[in-house]
Amino acid sequence: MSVLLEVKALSKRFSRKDSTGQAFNAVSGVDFLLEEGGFLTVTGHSGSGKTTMLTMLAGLITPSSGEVLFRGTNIFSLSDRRLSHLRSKEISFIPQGAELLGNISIYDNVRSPQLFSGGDAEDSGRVDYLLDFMGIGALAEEYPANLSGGEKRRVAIARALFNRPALILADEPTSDLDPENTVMILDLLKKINAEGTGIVMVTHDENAAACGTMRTCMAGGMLEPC
Amino acid sequence: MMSRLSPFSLVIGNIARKPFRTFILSSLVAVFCMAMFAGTVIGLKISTGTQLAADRLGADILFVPYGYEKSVQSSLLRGEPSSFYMDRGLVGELRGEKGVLRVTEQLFLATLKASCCSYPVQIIGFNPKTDFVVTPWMNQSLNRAMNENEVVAGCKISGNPGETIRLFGREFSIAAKLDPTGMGFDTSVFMEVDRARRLLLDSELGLLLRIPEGLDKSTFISSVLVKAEPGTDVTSLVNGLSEKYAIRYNLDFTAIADMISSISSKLSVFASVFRMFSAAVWVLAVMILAFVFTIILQERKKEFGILRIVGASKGHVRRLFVGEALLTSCMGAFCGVVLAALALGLFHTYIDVTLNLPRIGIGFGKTLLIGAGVFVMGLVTGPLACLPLLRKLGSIDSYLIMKEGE
Ligand SMILES: Nc1ncnc2c1ncn2[C@@H]1O[C@H](COP(=O)(O)OP(=O)(O)OP(=O)(O)O)[C@@H](O)[C@H]1O
Ligand SMILES: [Mg+2]
Repeated sequence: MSVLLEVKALSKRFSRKDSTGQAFNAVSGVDFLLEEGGFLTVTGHSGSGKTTMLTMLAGLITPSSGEVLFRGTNIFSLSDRRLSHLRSKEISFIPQGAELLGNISIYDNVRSPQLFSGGDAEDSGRVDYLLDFMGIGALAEEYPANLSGGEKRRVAIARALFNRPALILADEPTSDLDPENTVMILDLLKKINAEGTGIVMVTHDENAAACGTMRTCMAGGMLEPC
Repeated sequence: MMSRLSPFSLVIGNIARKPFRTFILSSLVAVFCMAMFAGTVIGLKISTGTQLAADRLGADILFVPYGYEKSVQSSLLRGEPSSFYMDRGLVGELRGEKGVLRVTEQLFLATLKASCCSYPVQIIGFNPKTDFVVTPWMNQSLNRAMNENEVVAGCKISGNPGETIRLFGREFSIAAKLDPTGMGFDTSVFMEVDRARRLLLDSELGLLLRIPEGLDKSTFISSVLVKAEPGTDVTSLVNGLSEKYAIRYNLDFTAIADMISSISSKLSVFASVFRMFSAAVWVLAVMILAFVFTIILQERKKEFGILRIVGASKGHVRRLFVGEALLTSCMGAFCGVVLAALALGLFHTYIDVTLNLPRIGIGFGKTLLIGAGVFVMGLVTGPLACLPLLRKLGSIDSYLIMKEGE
């Protein structure tokens, strides 16, 4: 098995504007390896640095030190353009709030990665397939404002799958959902993982954490097996 | 089944789904464009009009009886009726002088009442054979001699060609009207100089008027206008002529260039104030837009964050933001220019009258050019207003800014 993601001594220092005004490490010295098709879960208290770590893995914020190697390439050595292109094709990020673009339809939201992934010919059935796969085929023409939280999450997942990425970074994809929706989303992620997509999932939920093939816990910016 | 999703469709979506925001932003640009367009057109009309007035008045020197220099100025400039008289002999003598190209005489009559107007009218007798001052203002040419009972009316005298007007108890028919001159001509009525003289002598008023003793009652006039030969130094010509004739004819004299330049400088100050005002509105529009965009950016951080997530580079985000601003200001600029053009077209008479503008069109080509220029200026207001934000969108860890300022 080849390595999909290798993280070396990854740290992020913030100068927080609290009473002390001191800099602190939101993420400090994180190391791990994720193989192709692996499923890593991260649990931890609020404020332990999970989102910060995940956004660095997506190349959305730059680390204070350390490296993120995606299939052997340090993503922070790439230009913003190439890194953004990588994000549209290979590394999909499902943000904590499952945010969508409010001014375009669900259909267009799902295919929005296509906007920036270059002029590839569109796989015309892809959006319909994904929406059906997520069980929200009927919502294609709606706008995000008309969707429930669970539906929005499913759209965000469909969007993340659109370009058939090699890695999905999911930030609490099941928080605030009822048990039924939680189970459904977890099943979907397991299915995607079974098809060979690597996943790093941040969660508060013990059941969700049990889905992973590798379980880690984050505390005070440090990541440890648990 | 569906058209390809392009950054352009994203821009269109953002504009179409936020009609209120779009309306406010493009209205700002529209208001600027309207002010700029109207201001430039009116400014140009003023400067063209003044230039035309200076060109058309065409006289270089004005001679009037001693003591009446100020009266004739207020007569010419403001149309305040006045009457003063001198001998016509001067006309023939000046005609023979070196450096003098043309000479013509005028006779001023003041009426206290006329059927046309609620205010006193100035009647000016002119000599159609030698005139070079009044004729160029006629808005349709009169290719024939004027007959006994015809007059030419200034633009503010009511009545159209063919209609009649009552002066000193007599009916006259209006043969032609003058274009607006911005001068006293606008409230004057012109007739053949000999006819005017007879009218004056026949009326009861004639007895009361100040016709000096010893003046030949069949030839007296009020003023003499001189056009110098091209290339002549008007100042030295004035000096030479006045030295020779001032005492003998008891004259005042004034170089008309001085008079016109005082009118035109007054008007061009007005025009440049207008231009400065338009420029200020433009700067203000850019500043207000920049301010509004800063607020909007705050509200849209999340949206830009999502764009980054789905693979937009910083350049993509910047281009989308600028594209939106460009399209918004494009709509505003278009509406502004079209509305201003419509307003100027529909209300041009009203605007000319209220602002006392010469009634001259500046031409379709020039108007189109101004419209295009204003449109381009309107178009760039949006992108210009984005400039301060572009650095913010592109420089630092942009996702962090979008999450919440570091
Ligand atoms: N932009 C920032 N500037 C300063 N401090 C930040 C910034 N982003 C996050 N932090 C701090 O870093 C720490 C980790 O934040 P992070 O969002 O990674 O936590 P988390 O583990 O995802 O929490 P949660 O479970 O509530 O989502 C927190 O203490 C947070 O206040
Ligand atoms: Mg978090």
